[in-house]
Amino acid sequence: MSKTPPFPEFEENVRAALATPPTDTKFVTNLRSKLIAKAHDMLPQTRHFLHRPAWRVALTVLLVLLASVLIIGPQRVLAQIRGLLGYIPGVGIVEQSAPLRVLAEPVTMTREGVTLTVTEAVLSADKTVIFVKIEGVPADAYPEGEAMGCLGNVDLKLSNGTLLEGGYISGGNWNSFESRLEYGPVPAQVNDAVLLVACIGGTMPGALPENWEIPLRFAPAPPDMTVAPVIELSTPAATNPPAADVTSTPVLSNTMTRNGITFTLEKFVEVEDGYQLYGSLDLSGATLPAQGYFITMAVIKMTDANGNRIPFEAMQSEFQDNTVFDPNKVSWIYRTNQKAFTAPLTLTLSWVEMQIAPQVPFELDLGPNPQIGQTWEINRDLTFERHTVRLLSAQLVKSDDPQWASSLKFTYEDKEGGIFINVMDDVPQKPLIGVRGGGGGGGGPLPGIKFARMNYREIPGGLRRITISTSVPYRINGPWQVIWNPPSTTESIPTSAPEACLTSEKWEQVKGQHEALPVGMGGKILFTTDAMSPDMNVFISNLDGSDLRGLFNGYYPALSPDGMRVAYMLETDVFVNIFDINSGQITSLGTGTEPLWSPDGLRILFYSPPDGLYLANADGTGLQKIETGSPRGNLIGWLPDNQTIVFSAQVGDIYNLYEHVFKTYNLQTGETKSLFSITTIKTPIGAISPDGQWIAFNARLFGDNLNGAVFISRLDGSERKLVAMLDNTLAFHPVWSPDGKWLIVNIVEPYKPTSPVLVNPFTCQVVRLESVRGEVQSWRP
Amino acid sequence: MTDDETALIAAAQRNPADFAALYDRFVQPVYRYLYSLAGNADDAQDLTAQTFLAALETLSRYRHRGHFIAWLFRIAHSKAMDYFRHKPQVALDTAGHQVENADPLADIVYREEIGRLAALIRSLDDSQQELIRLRYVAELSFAEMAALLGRREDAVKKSLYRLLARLKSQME
Repeated sequence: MSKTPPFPEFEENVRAALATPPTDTKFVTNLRSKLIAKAHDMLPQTRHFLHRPAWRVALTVLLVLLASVLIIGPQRVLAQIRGLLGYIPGVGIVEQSAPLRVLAEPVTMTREGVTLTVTEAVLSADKTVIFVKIEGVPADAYPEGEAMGCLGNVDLKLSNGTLLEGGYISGGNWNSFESRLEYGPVPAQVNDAVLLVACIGGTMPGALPENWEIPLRFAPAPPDMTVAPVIELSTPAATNPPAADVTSTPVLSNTMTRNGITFTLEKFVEVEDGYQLYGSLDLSGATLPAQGYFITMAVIKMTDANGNRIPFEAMQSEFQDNTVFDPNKVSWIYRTNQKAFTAPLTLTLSWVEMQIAPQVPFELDLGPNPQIGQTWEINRDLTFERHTVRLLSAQLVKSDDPQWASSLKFTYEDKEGGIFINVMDDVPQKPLIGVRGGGGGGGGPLPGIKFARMNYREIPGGLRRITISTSVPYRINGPWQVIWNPPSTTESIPTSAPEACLTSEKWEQVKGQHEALPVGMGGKILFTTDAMSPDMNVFISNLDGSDLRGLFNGYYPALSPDGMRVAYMLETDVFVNIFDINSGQITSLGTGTEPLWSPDGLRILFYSPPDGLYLANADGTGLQKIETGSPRGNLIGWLPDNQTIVFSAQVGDIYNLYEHVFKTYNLQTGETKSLFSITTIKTPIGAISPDGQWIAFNARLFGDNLNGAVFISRLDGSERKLVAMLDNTLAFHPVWSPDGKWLIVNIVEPYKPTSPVLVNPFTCQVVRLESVRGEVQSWRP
Repeated sequence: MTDDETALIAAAQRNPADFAALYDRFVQPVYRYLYSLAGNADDAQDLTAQTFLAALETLSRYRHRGHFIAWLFRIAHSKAMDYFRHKPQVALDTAGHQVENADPLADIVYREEIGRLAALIRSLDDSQQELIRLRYVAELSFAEMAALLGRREDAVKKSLYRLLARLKSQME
């Protein structure tokens, strides 16, 4: 199915109407040179750093250490180096070669109802971290519609006149929020500075007070300030062989090289609830078929001495040390949520993904007298390192860009998604430019028909030798394994949690199988695809994928209990309609989204932003607002009594995006009852079993690495069971079977259509719905 | 692609000299966007230089959340707004560059059609012009526009397509 936008030809006209003159090549080149020169100035080169106090400190330390090596030997020096790094929660790893300093006292400034409070600051030899709280930003200070607010730059002006730049605060439409600002080091002798806040980022210029100047004073850190020691691991002299064909069982250490990539555990820190582990990937030995960059790597798994998986989670790289330049080095930080293990622990990395730019030569004979509008059919597969696109045709067209006389426009089919080709004439007759494809492809990582073109100053002719290139992922498989012996502890070792029914290993297994549906299982499913108007994106079919029928284009579709009608939000507006599948008749309900049918099919509940929940009869009558008393709620489902709804409500203040509590609300009595709380990675998604005894829901679980996990539990939260949790893959939106014995879990792998899978949460049987490509929304008898 | 950007950003953060790769990738859309705001090449060049110098200087503190171009365009927009504080704003630069066509009749029809469309676009309010500019001049994806504008991706998409539908109906 193509992914064309609604008006592709009209969009081309808009582009033509907005055509800008070409960029002056001389200007582009000059600016590039200027930036490179500026970049070199920014590097810590020797001719500069002697003049900088912070580097004087570092140089002094290095000289002392060099002398120490000569006097007391390398082992003890290593211990001293270790002592130079410390970890401060919220701040990260800091150098301790100079005494740490903090904010002498919090500073608050209020102007026209807006309050800025500098709550904390930490100053180390290598960085300055400042925390600012902003309160009282009125909602109307933020722009409506498409307008952008101000940038929100925050600089730190030191008392010696130096300006440290790079801080930024942004409201994100919040009334109150906190920002962490990070700057370079403040010289040891400077204890006063002014925080210069140009404006509250994201607000409309002039809507709030601007140009804040907040005086700050720094003081020595208190002796009891928490600075955890950073334990650095020495790398053994002899590691595993770097050959590409390692087959023997390696002796594990804290580093391992395979296929030219070295995986190393470098250091760790003990924190309040576990350990943080810091490591790296050295890619310098990797051999690539074309020029490439590191893109991503698999989730690192941790297992104990018994082979049991230990919850292990990647951390955001907020506090990562990027000061040491190494283009082939990638740093990682993971953490545990426990301190006691059955040691030793093994860290396993399965694969590393690079982005490479392979090229394919191509010839196209345009003949002696090609004409604008002439088309050459090509229909040839081009393979770029295991990724194939089909080059369909080339057409000579008038260029969209007035600087050029013509364009050779190539049409190709990207069946995988995410592939864009570049075309470049090898022997340009005149100044020529290659233009990356776009237009009809609609952009994005989806499969579809796409275009690429190159422009000519005149009409090209004859045999054209063309280089076609693209940028594709290239996976290098490991595994790489390193070992870690954590410090011994008297704490008891936690019991291993039960594994999910659907894991990555299980998913890989069922993907390769063609298993029939369990006997007696059937019914109708309603599912959505990523198609855009005018293509339909809402479909209905039998569970096995047969009797497929496209219905319309819309969002949040829900199939009625009798399977005859679909409630949905319009594609073009936040408005709920009901579509009769047999007659095509449409009934309007009202402004809203995410409709939910009552079990008897007589009523529909929906959310209408910004003011809450509404209930209407399925014939469009009886619209009424529901006051649950809980703002910021999300609809989950109905209980079989047709009177009780289940919804989730955000816990705490508005910033607490990921804490929610499930509640029931009785439409007759108005009674609200809290069920249990969950932590999520996004808006809570859930479903009530047809008998009203179970709730299936998405929630966060330590170690899910933000891919989320699907659980079921009783309505009071008891008997919670992990149904699905995969690595590098999102498992979400559970949908109950009509008999309440199975779930459909929707699985999203990067750059692939959603794949629904059947999971029996009680027996852990898993069956792939291989004929359905899309996100299942409803399942009816 | 965002993942490709991630690698370029990480490299440039480790070594500012690698910023050139990011510059090469984004200089054209940034320039086009700023040209459509400023309406002349001299100011567009000046604003482009200011944008990339500011980006280079602050890149080490930038935290990648998936849309580098949104961050870059925030800087570009900020520089442009500074510029407009000192100079009167011009409307979105539209169809100022004539297209040569081998067929004179087709050329006239084409110019007339594009000219009408350009006038319609100029009649839009600032926020609508900005939406058009980001999509069809800077060629940002909907996800990038959403990140830049602080709105949901589907909301941006709907706003733009509603706008296009309106323009299209006015052209018919």
